[in-house]
Amino acid sequence: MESRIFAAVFAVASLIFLLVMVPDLKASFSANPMFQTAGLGPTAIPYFAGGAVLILSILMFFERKPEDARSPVPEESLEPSSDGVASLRNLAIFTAILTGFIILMPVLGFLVASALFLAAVFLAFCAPSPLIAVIIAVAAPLAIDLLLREVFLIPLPELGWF
Amino acid sequence: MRNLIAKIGLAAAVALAPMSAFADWKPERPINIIVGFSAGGGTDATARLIASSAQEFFEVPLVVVNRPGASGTLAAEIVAGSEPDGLTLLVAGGSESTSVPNHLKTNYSLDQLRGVIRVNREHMVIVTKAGSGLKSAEDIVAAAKENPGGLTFGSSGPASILHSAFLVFAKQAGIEMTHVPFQGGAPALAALLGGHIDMTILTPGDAKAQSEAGNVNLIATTSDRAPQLPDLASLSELGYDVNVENMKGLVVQADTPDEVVQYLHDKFKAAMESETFESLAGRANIQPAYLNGADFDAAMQNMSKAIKEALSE
Amino acid sequence: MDIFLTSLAGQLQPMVLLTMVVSVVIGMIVGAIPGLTVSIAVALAVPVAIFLPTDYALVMLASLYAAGVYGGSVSAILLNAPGTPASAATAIDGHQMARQGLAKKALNIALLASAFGSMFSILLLVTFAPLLAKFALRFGPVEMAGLLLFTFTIVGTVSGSSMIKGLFSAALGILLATIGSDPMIGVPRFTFGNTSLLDGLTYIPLLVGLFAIAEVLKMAGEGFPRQSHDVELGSENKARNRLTGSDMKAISMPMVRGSIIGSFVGLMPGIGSTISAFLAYADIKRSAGSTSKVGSGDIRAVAACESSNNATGGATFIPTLALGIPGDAVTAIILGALVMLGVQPGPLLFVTNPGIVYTVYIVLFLSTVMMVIVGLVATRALVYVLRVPNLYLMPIVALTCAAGSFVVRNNVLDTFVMLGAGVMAFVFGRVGVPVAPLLISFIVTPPFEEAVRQSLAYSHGSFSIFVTNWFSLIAILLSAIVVVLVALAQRRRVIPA
Repeated sequence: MESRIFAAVFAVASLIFLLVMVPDLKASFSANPMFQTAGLGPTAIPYFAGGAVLILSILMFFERKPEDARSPVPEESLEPSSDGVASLRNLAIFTAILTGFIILMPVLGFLVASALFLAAVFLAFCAPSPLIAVIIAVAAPLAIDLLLREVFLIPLPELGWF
Repeated sequence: MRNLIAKIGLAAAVALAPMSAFADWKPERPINIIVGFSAGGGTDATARLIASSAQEFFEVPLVVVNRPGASGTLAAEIVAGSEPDGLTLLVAGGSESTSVPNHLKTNYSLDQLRGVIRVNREHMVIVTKAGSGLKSAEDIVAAAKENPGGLTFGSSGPASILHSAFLVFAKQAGIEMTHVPFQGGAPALAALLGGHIDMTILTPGDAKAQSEAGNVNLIATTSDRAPQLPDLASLSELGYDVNVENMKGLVVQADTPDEVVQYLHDKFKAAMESETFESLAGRANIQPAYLNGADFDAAMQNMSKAIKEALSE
Repeated sequence: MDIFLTSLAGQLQPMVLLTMVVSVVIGMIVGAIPGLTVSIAVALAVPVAIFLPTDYALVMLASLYAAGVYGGSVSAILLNAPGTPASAATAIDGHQMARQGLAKKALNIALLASAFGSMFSILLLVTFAPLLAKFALRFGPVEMAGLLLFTFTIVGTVSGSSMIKGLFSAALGILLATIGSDPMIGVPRFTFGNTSLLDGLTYIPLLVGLFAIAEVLKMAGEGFPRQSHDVELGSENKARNRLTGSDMKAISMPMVRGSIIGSFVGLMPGIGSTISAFLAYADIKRSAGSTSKVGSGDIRAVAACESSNNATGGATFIPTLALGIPGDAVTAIILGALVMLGVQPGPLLFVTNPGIVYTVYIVLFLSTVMMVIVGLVATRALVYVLRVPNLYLMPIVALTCAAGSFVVRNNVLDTFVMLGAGVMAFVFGRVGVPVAPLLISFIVTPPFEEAVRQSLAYSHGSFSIFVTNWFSLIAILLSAIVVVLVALAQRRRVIPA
């Protein structure tokens, strides 16, 4: 089922790509004689790739699961359906925290944002030992920041980064 | 009541602050020098050279920040849209200033940047493969006239200053050649030595090394004579009105007040006259070429105009 | 010979050796941290290097380079999160070994193979550099187009059980690779007016997202199980992890083949060590036959991939030193540093500055030896990373990934590319679409499109140029043969016997 939704989404997306985005690109340069090229133009590879994605997602939609033909691979047994909801919730929480970190990093600087990120993850996933969690949430960002910025001179975002 | 007066007083002070500040302007926060290319490249080298020799003249830190992307135009766009407070400088004068905006739509124009100082210039040398039969500019023009579009020239990318230099040359000579862009100058040189293209452009240092090894024919420089190759004539001496080269200098957002630009110019000028700069530039084979801000602007505008004309047929 | 001895003596001074040790350690750490790559390490070392004496500077840059590629395989094996793109292929079998409790063995084989690959290419560099460099020059755009077309056939080997899904992944990789400036005329493609996208989706964030972030997300979905459930540390007995004579025998041919492939790729501009590792992987999978366990923890696959990507690193010095044309981004930076140190690189470097050339040889050689010593010591400690509970380890991996993605260009957009790639790869995993084909076609498409269109510029639009050139014709035919063979093998597998 998941596989079919996936294939359908990509089929629709590739249709939009082929019918709207690539023609838009073509319109953006074809008026200018300076931009004429011999043989293949800038749209050749996009048309090829978009077409391939479309055809393959349609094929994927109708593909029989290879597991049916062969011995059942443990893919199904790995995720029992009762855990499905919990797993999805875990994933959503973590992705949200990570997204928040990425948005805040340029604003708060790497150090503060990453400490908050770790604290949030440990809180959300109920770290077994609060003490270790606090230590890591403070020490790891400090260590990474020190290592990268002071030792390797890699310019991570600081507070007040433009 | 006292509170209100205090507030008004504070507001007035804030309102007046910029004026008094500009009269005797001094940077109070670190100055960022933005480089549009990765660390370790030629533009980055110039930036670090000038920053490390100028540091002693500034009370605030000078920070070199690499913002590579889109042939340097990403950094130019950032500086063109920055606050005109004199704290964000761009290392400019190459492709992103004089060449790319004439070829493609960019989110900034040269008019949105204002020159502070020109630091150095880098000549460009047209070369062909040794033994190819193209030994001079006349050979190239004759061959191109015989077979329009038959000769190929390699550049470091579409819209790069190398691309533009060949276009200006072709326009001045009234010839037509085929452009083959590469991702940077190095693969273009490899393609030339392998005989896959007919000509490309090198820095004087590379051109000298390759010609001494008998790999390339030196054709001409695209501006004036280069000190490393004093015997090589320039295209303009040969009768083609070409003046395109790579320059490097510092620019700020165009609305930056005169006092601020003057302050920055004076400090960087002092840095260029320092011994640190001289010894580092000598070792790194960088050719200092001081110009003040206004003259640097004019030089960029002239080059840009010539490229624009070559592009408009 | 005198110059050689002076150069050698120069490198054996305590301070130079110390610089080397420090650089090797830093290179390994940077390589091992997902998101930070050896090119960042080298680029950031340059401002320091230009203020050092030439010998020290060269030692520093070359040691960083040599150690960085091996470092990447450490996190690939232990965490399934390749520290550098070049070790993405190593992760396939290397991480399987770690899950089977053979982490230490995998690390040691990776180290040995890395050293072998480096030595192999250094030997080529010392003996045949000018000859090989001349040979490489004969590869113009037409030949490159043929060669790159052939590299697309690796997709067939890493596609897993469903060819449709593998090809889908590859097609999507091609599509994503077209984002950015057009290589011939420079017009923006699918950038939505964002200048930061003109160079395309940046490669490091994309890779980090596809592999490391996807792994972190997978763990998060499982609620961060205390330990990756099948890493049996309890059974980590010494005997199983010891390298035996028969192991050495088994990996010797894969290492030689991997080194040859890697050196060849290193000579060619614009392909790089990621693809060379995958080419070696495809080669070993084909030669090992269908009954082998390549793909599920085979020591030969680890050895082949690691020798190949390290050989590529060494071989890029061949055009760099013999012609003065840098073979990749890192050697370009090293050449730039040489210029700043007052040495003009070029074809006459051997004549005008033999001391520099010998110094580079010796430094590359010594830093490889140093890498083995430091690596052997480090391996003992590194396996303990697996004992850190996932809840503490994985978020830190995510942090370094974000930091690494950011510092490539100091650009926030790149961290979003990383996140997007991570989510996409996670979804791919759920529906059984392999990620490796996407990565391969994403890397190969830009140089392929460039080479094809450059060729068409010479031929004024005529495609006959690709069949009149003997090399490109052979490459096209070979590619076709491989495609047919893979398709037949696939058919045999799908229809149950």
